[in-house]
Amino acid sequence: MQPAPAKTPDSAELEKLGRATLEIVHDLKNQLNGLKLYATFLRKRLERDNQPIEERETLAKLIGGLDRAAKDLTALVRYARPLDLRIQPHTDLRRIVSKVIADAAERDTGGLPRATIAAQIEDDAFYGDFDPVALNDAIKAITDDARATLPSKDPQTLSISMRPESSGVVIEWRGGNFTARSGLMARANGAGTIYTELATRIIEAQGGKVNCETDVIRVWLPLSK
Amino acid sequence: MTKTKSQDVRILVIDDEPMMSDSLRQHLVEEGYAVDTAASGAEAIDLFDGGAHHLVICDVQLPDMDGLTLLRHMKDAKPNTEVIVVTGYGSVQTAVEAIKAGAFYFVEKPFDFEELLPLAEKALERRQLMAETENMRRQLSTRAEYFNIIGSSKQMQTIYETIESVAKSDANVLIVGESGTGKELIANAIHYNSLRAKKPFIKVNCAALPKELIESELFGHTKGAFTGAHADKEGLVQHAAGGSLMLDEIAEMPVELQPKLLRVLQERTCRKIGSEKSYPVDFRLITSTNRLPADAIRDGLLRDDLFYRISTITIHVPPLRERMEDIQLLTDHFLKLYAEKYERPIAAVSQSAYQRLFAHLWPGNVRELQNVLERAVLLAKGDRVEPVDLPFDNGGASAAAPALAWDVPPNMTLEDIEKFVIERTLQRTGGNKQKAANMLGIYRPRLYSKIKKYKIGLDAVSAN
Repeated sequence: MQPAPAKTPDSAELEKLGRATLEIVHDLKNQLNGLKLYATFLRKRLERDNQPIEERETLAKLIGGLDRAAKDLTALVRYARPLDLRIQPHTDLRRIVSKVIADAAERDTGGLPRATIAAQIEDDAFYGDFDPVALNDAIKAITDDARATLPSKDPQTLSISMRPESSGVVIEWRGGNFTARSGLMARANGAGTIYTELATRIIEAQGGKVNCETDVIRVWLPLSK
Repeated sequence: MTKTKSQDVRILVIDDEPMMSDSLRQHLVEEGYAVDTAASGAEAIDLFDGGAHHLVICDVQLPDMDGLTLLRHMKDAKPNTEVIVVTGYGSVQTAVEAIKAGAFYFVEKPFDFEELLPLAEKALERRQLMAETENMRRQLSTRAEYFNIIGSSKQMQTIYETIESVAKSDANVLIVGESGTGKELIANAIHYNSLRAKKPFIKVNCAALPKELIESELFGHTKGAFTGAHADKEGLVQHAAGGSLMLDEIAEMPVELQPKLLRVLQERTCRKIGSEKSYPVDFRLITSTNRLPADAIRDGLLRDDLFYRISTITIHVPPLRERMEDIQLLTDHFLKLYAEKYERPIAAVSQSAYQRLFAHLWPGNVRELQNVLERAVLLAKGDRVEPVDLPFDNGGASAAAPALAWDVPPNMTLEDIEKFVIERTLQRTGGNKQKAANMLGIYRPRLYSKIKKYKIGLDAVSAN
C-alpha cells in the first residue's frame, strides 16, 4: 500500500481560514477588554476597601496578562488587515523618535531587560510625509526588539542615533547582539515577530528601508524635498 | 464631575459583547451615572428614542447595523447628545467618518476605563455648556439684557456681538471705558460665554494692590524669596489655571513689572519670585482700563509692546451720555432691583423725573445712575420716583458730578451750558486739555470735538 499523498490547502481555503481566524481574534480581543474592565473594577474596589496587598498584586498580574494578550491580538488584527496610513505632510521625524526614546527611558520595562537609552540626535528637525501614529508604533516596536537582545543580567546601554543621509534620515540602534535574538534578524528567515513584521511594513509603506546586521539595526526614511 | 452631580446623568452603552457593556456599566454606575445597555442597533434606537440620554458610548460594529449609521440617527434625532464611538478595528477612515458624523471622540479597543472616563466627563461638560449657551441665546432674543449688561442701544448691540464672536476663542481682550461703564460685566460675559466658563475667573485690580506686592500676588513666590516670605505662595496666574484672568486698571500696573507679564503671555510659562524653575500657565487674559491706551502709552504708564499683546481684541464701552437711549431700560432695571431689595412699592418714574434723568450728563456713568436710583427708591414717598427724589433736582448740578461751583444763568440752552462748563474747566486747568477732560469725565478726543464744535478759543481760556 502506498501512503496517501499529503493534502495541501489551496489558497481559497487558506483565505477562508484567515478570515475565520480574524473574526475570532476580533471577538477575543473584545472579550479580553471586557475581562480587563471587570478586573480593573475589582481592583478599584479592593483598593477602596483596603484589601490585602497579595490579592491586589494577583489582580495586577491578571490585568498585566490580559493587557499583553490584548496587545498581541491587536497587533495580529492590524497585521491581517491592509495598512491604513494617514500621511501628514511636514511631519517632524525627530520629534517622533525623541518621544519614543523618552517613553522607552521612562516606562516600565514590561519584561524587557533594563537598559540605559543613550540618544544621539542632531538638533535639526527632519520633515517628511509620514503617518506619525503608525511611525511612532513602528519605531517603538524596533526599539523594543533591540532592547530585547540586550543581556538581561547587568543594565546595558542601547544607543539610538539619528542623522541625515543622502535625501533622507538614518536611525540606528546599537548595543545589542542582534544576531542572537532580534525579531528583525529572524525575519529574514521567516521567523520575525508580528511586531517587527508590522514595523517593517509600516516603514516600507512610507518609502523607507529596514536593515538588520549583527551589531546595528538601521532604518532609512525619506525626507521632504 | 462629582458623584452627586452625575446622578442625573444618563448614559447609553451599546456593544454586542455582553462583557464589554456590562463591565462598562459597572464602572459608570460606580461613578454615579445612570446607565442603560443595548446589544444591537435596534435595541439601541428603541432605548435612545424613548429616553433622555446625555451621552452614548457606541461600538462601531453591531450585529444588525453599522455603528456610524446609528451615530447619524442619534445626532439627527437629538443633536445635543454627545457620542463616543468605540471600535475594535482602529481604522483611520472609520475614525474620520465618525468625527465628521458628529462623534465627540473615537476610542480604540482595548481601552482602560481611566482612559474613557475623562473623555466621558469632557463630553458631558461640552453638552452642558452647549445647552446653557443655547438657553442663553433664546433668552437674548431681544438683547435688552445680556449677561447682566443692560442696554439695547446700537453701541451695546455691537459690544454683545463682539463678545459672542471672541468669547469662544482664547484671544486677549482689552476693555476700554470710563469708570462706571460696566467693564467688569463685559469681562464676566466674555468669561462665562467662553469654553473656560467652568474654570476659575480671577480678577485683580492693579490699582488696588500695593506696588511691592503685585508681582508676588500675580506670579507667586518661594519661601525666603524676600523678607516676610515665610512660605511658598502660588500666584494668581496659577489660580486661574484653565480659566481667565482679569487685570483691571492695567495702566496702573508698575511699568517695571510689565515686561514680566509680557514674557508670561509670550512664553505661556511663569517663574515665581525666588525660583529658577518655570511652570506652565494656561489662562485667557482680559484687561481693562479707564484711560485711553494711546494716552497711557504716551505718558509712559503702559508699554507699547504689552499693549499690542493684550489688545488682540479691544472693546470700547461708551459712556452713558453717549447712549442716552439706554437710560430708560437701565432705570427700569434698577428701579425693580431696589424696589424688591428694600421692599418699597415703587413701580415707576414720573415723566418730569425722567426729564431730569435725561438731562443729566452722568459723569459717573451707569454706576452713578444706579446710586441715584437706589437713593430715589429709598426716598420716594409715593409709588413713583419724582424729581424731588433725585439728587440733582436743583436744575442740573448732580451730587455725583464734579463740584464746580457756579450759578447757571437763566434761559441758557443745554449746549450753552456745556460750552460754558468746558470753558470754565479749561480756565481752571490753564488750558491743559487732558486735565480738563479728566475733570469733565470725558475722553480727550471728545473734548477736542466739543472745543471745535463750540469754537472755544484756547488762547483766550489759557490767558484767563
